[in-house]
Formats: sequence, structure tokens, C-alpha cells
Amino acid sequence: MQGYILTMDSLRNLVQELMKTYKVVAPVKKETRFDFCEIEKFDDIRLDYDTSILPPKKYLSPPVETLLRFKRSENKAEPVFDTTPVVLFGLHPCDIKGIKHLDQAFSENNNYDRHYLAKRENALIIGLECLPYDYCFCSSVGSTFAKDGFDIMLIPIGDSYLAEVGSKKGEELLKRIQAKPSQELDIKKAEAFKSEKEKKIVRRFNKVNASTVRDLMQRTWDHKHWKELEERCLACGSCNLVCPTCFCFDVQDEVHINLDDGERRRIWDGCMLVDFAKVGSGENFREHRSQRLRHRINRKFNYLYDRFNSPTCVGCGRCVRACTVKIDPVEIVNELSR
Amino acid sequence: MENIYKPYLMEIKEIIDETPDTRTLRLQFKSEEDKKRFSFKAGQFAEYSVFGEGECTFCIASPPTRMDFIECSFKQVGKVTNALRRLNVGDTVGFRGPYGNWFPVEEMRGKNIVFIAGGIGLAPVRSVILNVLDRRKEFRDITIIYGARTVSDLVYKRELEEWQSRNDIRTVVTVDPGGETPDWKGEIGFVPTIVERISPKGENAVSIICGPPIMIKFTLPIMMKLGFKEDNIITTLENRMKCGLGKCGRCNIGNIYVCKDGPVFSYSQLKGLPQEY
Repeated sequence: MQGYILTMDSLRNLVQELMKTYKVVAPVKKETRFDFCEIEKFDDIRLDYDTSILPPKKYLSPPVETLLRFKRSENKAEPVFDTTPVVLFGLHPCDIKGIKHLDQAFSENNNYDRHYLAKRENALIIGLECLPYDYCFCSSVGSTFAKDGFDIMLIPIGDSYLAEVGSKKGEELLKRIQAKPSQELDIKKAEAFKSEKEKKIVRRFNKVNASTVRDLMQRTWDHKHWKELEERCLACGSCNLVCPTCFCFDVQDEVHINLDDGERRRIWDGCMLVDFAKVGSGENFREHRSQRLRHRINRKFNYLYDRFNSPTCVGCGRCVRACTVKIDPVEIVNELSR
Repeated sequence: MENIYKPYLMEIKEIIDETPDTRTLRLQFKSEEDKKRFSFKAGQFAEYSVFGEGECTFCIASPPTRMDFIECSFKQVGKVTNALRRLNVGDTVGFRGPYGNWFPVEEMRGKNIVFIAGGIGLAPVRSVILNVLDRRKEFRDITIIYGARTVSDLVYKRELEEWQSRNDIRTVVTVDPGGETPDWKGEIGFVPTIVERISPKGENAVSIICGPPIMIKFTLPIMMKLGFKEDNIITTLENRMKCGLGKCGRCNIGNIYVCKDGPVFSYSQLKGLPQEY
């Protein structure tokens, strides 16, 4: 864990340096909660945030994203790419892992989604080690710590931060602000912080872990618990909306008021919504809420496991917090394995 | 930067009304370069679009042995299909594809082939039928069983007549009971019933089945009884798709994406999936 030491002043320095060339996005206070927003000054940043309302995903895969601009009268369409340099600052390890999943989803099978990748390649990720809050369960899905996927990772050690280097860009940046290399004691403190974090994660799967939860899902396809959840789930799609690894989308056209210019846009979609699997003939392949919830939970723990070589759920807990009736993946898994 | 969502432009060369609500468009690439680069196999699909309205997924209904144009057939059901219907000959359609896998036409050589289709499910099957008929000598007995709800719901009528008049294939056309007209000369009965009555042999045979889920559901047990192997019963799934590239997630069933792992599946492959198709 070789790295550099950043005092509060040098961290301020770092952010101010970044703000010269980047749009800097960081956790800020929003009424009673926190969210990722573009900051105007270093003091806007809340390093003590628990989690954000929406994951930082929205800066790489926005809720509505223009893919093409077209002119109907000329039958012309031009692609749109956003290459604004962005710093995503203060991401917790779960969100870093979430972005790694998106990176794969938007580039696998030799189908490179340049709309996502243009943003991603121009983004710098600065992580921030955290302590658990009320809803997270990262240790059960193997996303407690981030080994990669960041340019710099900040680990709190008393009044300062140990800055772990994750990329060449990250290292250059730390050198540019003349950060001091870390000492052995700093590294020990950082390790102590991480082991304290591990101990504090109390919400977890009882009988399965990140690799065996898939088998559990396969065994419990017909479990009566799915039917019980039918009674509770409102199929509102809030869980889809706040998930760092929900990357399903719809494609829709929007025409301007001149009825000639327009845009083809990608819009976040949600597998919990009633018409997600509905086809033109009127048939709905997942008509019931329990089917849709089972689909969603299986996508996170089972269906995509082979592709991503891990659960795609990162245990951030946002879906539990957002759910009106508090449907909780941890409770589901524990009930299914009971 | 390349853009995987950018459509190629095609011109509508001909419009054929199949039924009161189903239409076939005959399309040609506007650019000679796009035309040269394009190739596909029977069973693959594409995203068709009208700027300002959106995109829609249909199979390519014409065969790869006829590359001067491609054809798609669609039923008028939503925003995009309604917009496509408003277009005239000479108008432009966006097209991206081909996507997905294809029917194992090469492996079907030297075998008997049984085509079973219902309603607009004949569209993907037609691509293989025409493909196979264009290479007739490479295949053994060919049987086509096609049914629709009523006489007016039968698609590709001109081709059905042509197939029925050929003596190197057997073509049976049926309508559901009550769907016949006074002058109807074909069969009356649901597709599974007709399949059972005709009883094509399962030995050294491949069957391609496409149609409404309910038709497939009742036809499958009959095929098993006739001795067709699960690997040799082949169908295509028609789940909702948006991207066609394995990204948008709409067509995900279990651990497969219909757009990239399908749309063509054998019955043995389907058996391992949740019944969400």
C-alpha cells in the first residue's frame, strides 16, 4: 500500500488544482442527505458523507443521454459524444466497483459504446475509504475494498489521508502538488482503518458469500418467498433508479418544436416497471411483480455472474433505503437460505 | 469515433400489404458502400427506425440468397410501426444490423425439414424457407405448415400459393376454426392439430417452429411424440429489445440475452431457461 500523505491543506490544494482543468464532482449536502454534484469550491465537499442519493454513475451514464442528433428533412443523423474532462471525487469502494461493472457492460462483446466510453476515458476517479452506514452490506458481495478502478484512493488516517496510487495519471497528479511519500506508520494507520471498517459491517448474508449466493439463487427459483414478496413490492422501480449497477436502458426519439430537428436518446430503464418485458403483441413475459423482483435480484446475484465473474450487486444499500416497503436483498438472501 | 447506434439509411422500394394490419417493406441501401459491406444469415434481425419516432426490432424476412434488397414485415401495434406505415415508396428508413445468431442452415443439408409457423411468425421462417428453396437440391423433403387466426390474417399469400403449387415441397395452410371464409379451400384447425394430423417424421429431420407462444407450447409435445430430437427443434424468441447489442438489458432471460445469444434457440437450450418468453 505504498502511497502519499495528504494533509487537509494538500487535499484542498489537489482539488483546486483539479478544478482548473476538470469539472469536479463530489459529495455535497442536499437537505438531510448527500448527493454527487459539481462543486464550486473545496469547502462544498462533505468527506463525511454516508452515501449519496444517486450513485456517481449519473455522470458517466446520465438518466437521459443524447446518442444522435438528426434532421428529419435531410435524413441526416450525427452521433453526439461528451468528452468533458470530469473528476469523480470521493467515491466509496462500492461505487468504484459499480463503475467497473459499467465499463465492462459498455465495452464487452467487441461492441464499444463510445457514448459511455468517451465520458469514462475523460474521467478521473478519486476514491475515499469509508465506514459502513445503516444499509450497506458490501462484505457479502466482495466489494468492501477497491483494488483497482481508481486513479487515487484516499484512506482517512487521523487528520490526514493516505493517498494510494491507482494509475499513472493519479501518481502524476500527486507529484504535481508535491505530496509527501507515506511513512510506515501511515500505512499501519490506513490498515487499521480498513480492518475497523471490516469489523463494523454488520449487515451480511448469513449462510452464503459472494461466490455461493449464485448457487443459492439457482436452487431457490421456485421458493415461496418470491410469492410473499409479491404482496409487498409496489413495482415502483426506485431500486432500479438508485442502483449503481442498473444499466438497462430504453431508446427514444425526441423532436424539437420545429418538427424537424431532434435527438435519439438513451433513457434509464427499470426491470421492475410493468412494461419492461412487454412485447408488441400485448404479451408480458414478466407480468407479475414477484417475477420482476426475482429477475432483478437474480440479475444482481446469478444471471450476470459468469459475465462479470462476481455478483453485480455492490452492496451499497441504496435500494433498501429507497424502497418504500423496505425490501432488502440481505433479507431476501437470508430468507432463501434459511 | 464509431457509433454503434448510428443507423444506415435505406430507401423504401416497394410496399406490400400482407393483411389489413401487417405490411412488408422492401428496402435498399441508399449508399452503394453500405450495400457492399452488408451481409447476413437467415434468422438474424435488425433495428429499423424512423427519425423522430424511434426504433423497432424485426427479423430480416428475406433470404441471404437474394441480396438486391432486404424485406421486413411488421404489424401495426405501436408508435414506430405506425410511423413506418405512414411512409411511402421513396421514403427513408434507418437500419442497423444484422444482429444475433441464425438458423443452422448448413447443418440442415441432407436432412428433411419441417417448417411450422403461426401468424406473423412466418416472417423469420420465410427467410429460411426462401433460403432453402433457393438451394433446394441440398435438402431432402420439405414440409411447410402455416396457420393464422383467419383467412385475412395469412401473410405472404402470393408465396403460399406458389409453394402450394410446387411439387418438390409440401405446403399446408390452415386457419383457426371460425376463421375460414365460404370459399376457403385450405385446412381448418389449430396449428398443433394439423401438425399431428400430418405427422411429419422426426427421423433425420429438423423442425423450425415460430409463432405465438401458445402455439409453440402445444406443438412441442407433438414434435417430441413424432420423434424429433430436442436439439433439432429450433425456434426464435421475440423478446423486447432496444439496442440489439447485448447492452440495454431488455431481452435478458436467465443468463442469456436474446439479442446476442439468440434469437435462434433449440428446444434443448430453451429448457434450461426461465419461462419468460
